[in-house]
Amino acid sequence: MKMKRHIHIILFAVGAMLAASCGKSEVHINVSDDQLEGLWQKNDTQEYWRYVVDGHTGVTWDLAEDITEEESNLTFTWSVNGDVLRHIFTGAQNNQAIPKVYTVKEISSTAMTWTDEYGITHKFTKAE
Amino acid sequence: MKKGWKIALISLGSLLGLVVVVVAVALWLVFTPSQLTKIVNKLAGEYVLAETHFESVDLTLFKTFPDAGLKVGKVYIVNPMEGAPSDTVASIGSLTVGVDVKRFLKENEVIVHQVLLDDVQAELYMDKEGRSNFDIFPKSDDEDTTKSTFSLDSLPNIDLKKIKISNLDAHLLNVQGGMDATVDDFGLKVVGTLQTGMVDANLDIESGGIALAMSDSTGATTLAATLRDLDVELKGSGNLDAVDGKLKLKVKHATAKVGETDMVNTALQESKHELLTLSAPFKADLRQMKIQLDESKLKLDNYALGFKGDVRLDPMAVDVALATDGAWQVEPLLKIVPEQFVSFAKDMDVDAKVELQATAVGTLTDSTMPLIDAQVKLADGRFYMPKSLPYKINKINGDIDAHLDMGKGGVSHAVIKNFKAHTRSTDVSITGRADDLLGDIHVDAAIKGSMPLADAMPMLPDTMPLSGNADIALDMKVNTAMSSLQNMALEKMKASGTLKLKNVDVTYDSIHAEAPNLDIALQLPAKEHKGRLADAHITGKGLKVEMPGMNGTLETPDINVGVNNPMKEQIAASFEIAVGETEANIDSMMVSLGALELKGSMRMDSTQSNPLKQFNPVVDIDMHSAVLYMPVLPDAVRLSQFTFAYSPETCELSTAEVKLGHSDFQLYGTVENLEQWIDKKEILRADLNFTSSYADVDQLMDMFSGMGSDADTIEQMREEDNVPAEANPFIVPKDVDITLHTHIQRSVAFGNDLNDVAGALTINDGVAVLDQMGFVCKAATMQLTALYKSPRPNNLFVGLDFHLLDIQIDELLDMIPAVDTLVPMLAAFNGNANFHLAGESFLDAKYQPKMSSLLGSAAISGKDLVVMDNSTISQIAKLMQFKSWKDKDNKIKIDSLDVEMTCFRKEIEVFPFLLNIGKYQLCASGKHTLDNNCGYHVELLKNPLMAKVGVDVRGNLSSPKISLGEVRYADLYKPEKQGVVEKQTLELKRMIREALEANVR
Repeated sequence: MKMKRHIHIILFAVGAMLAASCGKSEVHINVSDDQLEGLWQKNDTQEYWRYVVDGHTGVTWDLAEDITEEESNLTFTWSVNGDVLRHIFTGAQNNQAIPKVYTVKEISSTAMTWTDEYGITHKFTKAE
Repeated sequence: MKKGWKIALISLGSLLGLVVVVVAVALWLVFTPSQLTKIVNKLAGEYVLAETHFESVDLTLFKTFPDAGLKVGKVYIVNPMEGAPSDTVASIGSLTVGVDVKRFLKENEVIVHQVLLDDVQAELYMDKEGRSNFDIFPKSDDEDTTKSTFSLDSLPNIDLKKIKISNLDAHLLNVQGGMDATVDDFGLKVVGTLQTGMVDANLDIESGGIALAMSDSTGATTLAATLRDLDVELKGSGNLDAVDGKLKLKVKHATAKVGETDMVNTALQESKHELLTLSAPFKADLRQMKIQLDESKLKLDNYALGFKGDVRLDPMAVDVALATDGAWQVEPLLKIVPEQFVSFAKDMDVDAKVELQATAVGTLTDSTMPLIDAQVKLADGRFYMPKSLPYKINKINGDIDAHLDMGKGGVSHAVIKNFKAHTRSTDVSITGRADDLLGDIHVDAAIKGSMPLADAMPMLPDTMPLSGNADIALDMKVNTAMSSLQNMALEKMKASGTLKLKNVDVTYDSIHAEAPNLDIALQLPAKEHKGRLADAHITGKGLKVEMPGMNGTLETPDINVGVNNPMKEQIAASFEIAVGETEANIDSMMVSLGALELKGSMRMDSTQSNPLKQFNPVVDIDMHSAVLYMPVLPDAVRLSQFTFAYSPETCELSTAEVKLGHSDFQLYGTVENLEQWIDKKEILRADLNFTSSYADVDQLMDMFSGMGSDADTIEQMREEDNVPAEANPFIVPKDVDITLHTHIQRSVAFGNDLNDVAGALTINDGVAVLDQMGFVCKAATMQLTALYKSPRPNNLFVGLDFHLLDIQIDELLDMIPAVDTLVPMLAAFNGNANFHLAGESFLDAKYQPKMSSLLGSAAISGKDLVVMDNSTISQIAKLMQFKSWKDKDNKIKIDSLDVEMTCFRKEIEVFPFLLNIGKYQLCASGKHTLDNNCGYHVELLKNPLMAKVGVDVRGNLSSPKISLGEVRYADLYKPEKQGVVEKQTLELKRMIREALEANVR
């Protein structure tokens, strides 16, 4: 029995290592500030993201919940390095830096797609 | 003037002397008329400096019998003079002189017994230099020009049987003296003797008319008088020391104009009564020039004045008693008084019966007048002056003693023994004293009376904004000058006394008051309130007061107030007010009081609309057992005690013991800018301490929601925001900056029982902040800093910094169910933990978070936790081949737990954290969404086999797919092997935790 158990552990470990080594090869793009600048609307929603290059600031809001751009508390600073788009939200009240990092998969003058580290994809259309 | 009379008298004397000479010559030499005429004319040419002509001179015995008489017919004296109206000075129709023949024959004495003149016309003139046309006799060489002292005893014996002048018409024009006098149809008859100190004489004068006009140096007439039908009768006999006599004078008609004043007005001229009669029996001491008047009577028109007493001449002095002959009726009397003297009565209807008794004692000189003491009685009087009073005053009765000193610097006064008057429903009686009667009368009087306010209103200045009615019982003492009273110069007046008011219903400016009874004690000038015009102490029952924005009933008012002069400025007052049970309405707020004390001052400014600025109060208020019903609050505010000091700048709240709804609390502190806040010019500032044994925070929030915001505006915002009717979001008051330093023993908030709540609550212009509010809930110590804004009813904002220390995890989840949403795995643990949360979100009108705005971070740390049975954990454990990870009690125990996480919108991201379970060490991280999708990674870092295994947990949280995953965190907690990502991850964890824990007190 003990031998069987040890074999199971070894197989589990090998399997795990195999699983860890079997990642897909990914294509990385370089995203510029200018490509991001402007107003983006998340597809099929009323969620908007505005990126301003000057100062690298931005704001996001969702009209579906009756929040306007002027009212929004979700202001942020942003930076892009290659395809990594990093946001730091400070909020309106607690002044606490909360990071949100996404990987830009595609970007054009009219559309953008990013994913988070768990593979959830967000698609946007340029609104302005 | 004097010189003119002197010359006239000298001329008359000289003329008589001439007559005597004529008679003597006649008696001595010739007796024929022609001879006599020639002789007289010749002698006249020698003795008279004017042209004279005696037409006939004859002796008569019959006309002058038993005396011998010389009768001269037609005498003319002509003396032309420039400016004189006529060259003829005098024309005498007949002149007869009777001489005692016996004395002449026996004793050779010429005793003239009779002088008779008939038909005399004279035109006398004196120019402006004093030259006259009747100065026709030469001056004697020995004429004594020095002033002689006249003495009756120096007079020779006189035995005048008759001196009679008939039908005298004379005109005197004295340019120098400004006199123009005319006598018409004048007759004079004198019969009498003066012998050895005894006198016996009768004088009768009759005149058809006398006219006299006087003018000043400018030619203006100063006096113009005429007398018609003048009769004078003077009799006297006896020793010169005691002449018994009687003077009768009668003037039927007269005119007299002094300056522009008709002293005898039309009514007097047209009267059916004789104008003036005088009957004065007397005893005279002619040597001492004293006259003792017996019961004398002077009657003007129909008004008779009796008098008796002593009169001394040179200098004039009197000691006379006067009395009206019966009562004088004032109304007709005023009609015959020259208009100038009764102009004050022009618009009056005034009448009374007046009886006067007086004495006049004293010397009449340039500077002194006799002192008059008079008793005046008024009866059945009436007074009506519609311009001043819209009603008649009648039943005027009075008894007044007056002392008049009309001399220079004299002081006169009157003692009002009693004065009563009645009008409509008013009765007034006055006693007292009036001084300086001939100047600015000063009254020191006691006034008692009863009157309705309506009767008193016409006597108040038009500018006083008083209306309404009250029954007033007056008992006042007044000390004032009439000028002050007329000018309503209240600051110069003294007054004290009481006004007892009944059925009060009055309005002063914008203040309305009603009361069944009010007693007002007045003191002017003020004694208690220095610097004020008057003190008023008001007591009564059931005083109802209405003023802008406020009305109320004061059951037992006790108001002590010092007021300024309302005649000069708007009301300002100092006051101490104590009232018992009181009910009041302030704007739409209803107040019921057990007792109230106010002490302070106010200054009214009716130009303001803000009630506080209208009254400008500076006041200390002590209120007991008050209940406030405010429309903005569903429950009454009950104040067992409420003490504060208010001024326009600040309001110091000393004590406010309040019960509101389920809550009770005490407030003290400072409120500022109340006036400006009402005017919407400044925000209301308050710094208050709030202590409470129990506070229902939820209920209080409901009550105060939206306070300070316009209700219409809120309703409009609700409509625009489509707020459901059942939603009642708390709208933070605007335009206020209030800080409450709270200490609450027990409270309920958002359904949780909170104890020992302490911290600051600030509400600042639409933003509510709880600043490090500490409290205990379910045995856990908590600290909350929160911000709440309500820019729109459907877009509320809340920000939290929340710390729960040493709290049972299950109680935490029970208290804040949202934590289970944020950290679903927490439900799998049991034990005590510290929980830190910082987050913010918009809320809708039902306080539901708008997830698209959710942003936050949290940290949880615990030790010695027990993992509850959980299928997910069991699956992970099975997959990782956990063995013997449960203790002897079959429980999974965790030595420590430190979790940091962030929340962004619907995503909760858990940063890598370690779990030590027995001999196993796990690291877990991941994220899930609030709609229960997850992506977690669990990695085995330590185990007996030293194997590294990663497990991914994905899918729906309730039934996730669990599978092997890549190893990520093998080097995370190995500093020597950490890469950039690992370091960033740990740094992020540290920053989040430190930031969260930084605010823990």
